[in-house]
Amino acid sequence: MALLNNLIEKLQWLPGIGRKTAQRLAFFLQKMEKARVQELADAIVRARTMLHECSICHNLSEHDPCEICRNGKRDTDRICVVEQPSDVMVIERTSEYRGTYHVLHGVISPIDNVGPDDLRIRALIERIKEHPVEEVIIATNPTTEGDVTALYIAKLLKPLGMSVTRIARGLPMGSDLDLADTTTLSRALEGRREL
Amino acid sequence: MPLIKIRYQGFRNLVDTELLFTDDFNFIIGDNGAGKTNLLEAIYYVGLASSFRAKEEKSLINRNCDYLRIDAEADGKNAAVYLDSSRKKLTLGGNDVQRLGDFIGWLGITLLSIEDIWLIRGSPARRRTFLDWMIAKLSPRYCSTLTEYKKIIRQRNRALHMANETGDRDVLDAFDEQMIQAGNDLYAMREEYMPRIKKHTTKSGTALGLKKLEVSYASSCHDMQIDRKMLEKVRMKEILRGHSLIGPHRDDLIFTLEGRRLQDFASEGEERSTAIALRLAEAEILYTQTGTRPIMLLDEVTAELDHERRDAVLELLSGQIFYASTQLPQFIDSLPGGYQVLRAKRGAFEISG
Ligand SMILES: Nc1ncnc2c1ncn2[C@@H]1O[C@H](COP(=O)(O)OP(=O)(O)OP(=O)(O)O)[C@@H](O)[C@H]1O
Ligand SMILES: [Mg+2]
Ligand SMILES: [Zn+2]
Repeated sequence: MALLNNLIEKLQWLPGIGRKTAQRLAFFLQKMEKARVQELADAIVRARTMLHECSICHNLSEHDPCEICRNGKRDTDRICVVEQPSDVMVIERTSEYRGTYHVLHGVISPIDNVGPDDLRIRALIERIKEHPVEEVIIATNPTTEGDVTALYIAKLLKPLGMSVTRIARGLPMGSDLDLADTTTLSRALEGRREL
Repeated sequence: MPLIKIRYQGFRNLVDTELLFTDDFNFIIGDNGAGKTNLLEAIYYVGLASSFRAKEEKSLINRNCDYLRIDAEADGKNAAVYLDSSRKKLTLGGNDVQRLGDFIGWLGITLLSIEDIWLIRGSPARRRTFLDWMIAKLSPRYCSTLTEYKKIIRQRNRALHMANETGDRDVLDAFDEQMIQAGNDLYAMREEYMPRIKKHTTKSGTALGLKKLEVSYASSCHDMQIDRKMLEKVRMKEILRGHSLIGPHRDDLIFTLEGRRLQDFASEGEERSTAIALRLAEAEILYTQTGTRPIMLLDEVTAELDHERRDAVLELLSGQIFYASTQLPQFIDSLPGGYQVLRAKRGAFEISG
């Protein structure tokens, strides 16, 4: 049982996985073909070891710069600031945004001991100082923390003289960008307003 | 709007069952610990998705159960509350409700309890809670703004600590902006309701024999408005203490009898009557705004009052009433309307009358 318990315990390291779910997953894995389990384990390890933060936009990618930053067809006059790499995926799915991104890897949340220096905010400022842009679109989630992070960034960017917009709060309250379907998101992008 | 039916499972010491109520007086009578307050609490919980006494919501779940569930039906509407150790679910007419504010209006409820004396004697937080609930029952927007505001204050207090450690004020500035926005929304709504609260409290105070009972709003911010300048003024103090020192979360209600502060001189009976006046004012405001009478939950309310005051309270009650007490009151014989008696014993109820 030690091996099984060990697995169950480790599965619980993942967010949203409690004891019961971990047990179910562990037993499920036992029933899977060994090759499939190997495939899964490899995928986890490969993704974790091969993915790095892009030195420009801080999105996760196996290349540096990432595919989006290297793509000559993207509009480099526009940066969309998001909380997580998953937000980039969501916005990319709308195929409506042609600019570049900047991934913060979190939001300001004093209760969780996350301040601006724990995020990629300074990197954003440096990036813009080096390559000025026309517009920064802040697309952090419409939560207390997302709003505060947006305000904080806007205040730092304003003196640099570009347009700073916030994605319109068309998203349902409390929902994360993650869950937004593509049409609401497109509408949100269109309706962004100056901060 | 009368509560017709309630069905509960796994709630405190109550034995799982379904109960039907009358539109008038429902007397809940039984010994100490029988489950009288628990039944009132179950009604309150399915109406407002909160408890008036549990510090930990999980303590509502029966010690031998994994979850609780309460279903209720009132005038063609039905609602349910479900709670287990990991989640809480609210439904209205079979549909999931995501936000508290969208739920709590479904059944008007006013609670009068023997504990209400703490509304007068206790800390300002008690009076703010009263005010917040009163308005939240009528305004989903107030409810959601309040939730947001509370979160902002929690974050901001931590940001004050951070500012103290790092000297960086920019994060704090961002929270200030949020606080000002949400705070002023709350202020505007409180200001809108205060005149009604004043009027009805004085009115029910008079009926209860309290001469010139007045309630007023004591704001930590001038004119019930918060702005950047005010925050600048207290900035150093706030950073040193690590607490947000002004705003709607620091305000209070002040009571006076004939111009003198109640807290300074009033007798216990007067304090109790004032608390009752305040609760009755709430019921009146709920009634005038929604057009339906809230149900009244009374927990040993009249126990400590003299005869005259007790009669006056009973006189002022209307709508559907749940009256919990260890003994059947004498006035039962002179009741004009109908009633039923629920005899409580070890969490079960035997209905008669
Ligand atoms: N989660 C729980 N599981 C089981 N029993 C509980 C739970 N919570 C409270 N109780 C029990 O419920 C009993 C009845 O409580 P309740 O407050 O309703 O009594 P009451 O009839 O109002 O009595 P009193 O006249 O003293 O006010 C208490 O004995 C208490 O121990
Ligand atoms: Mg009791
Ligand atoms: Zn990149």
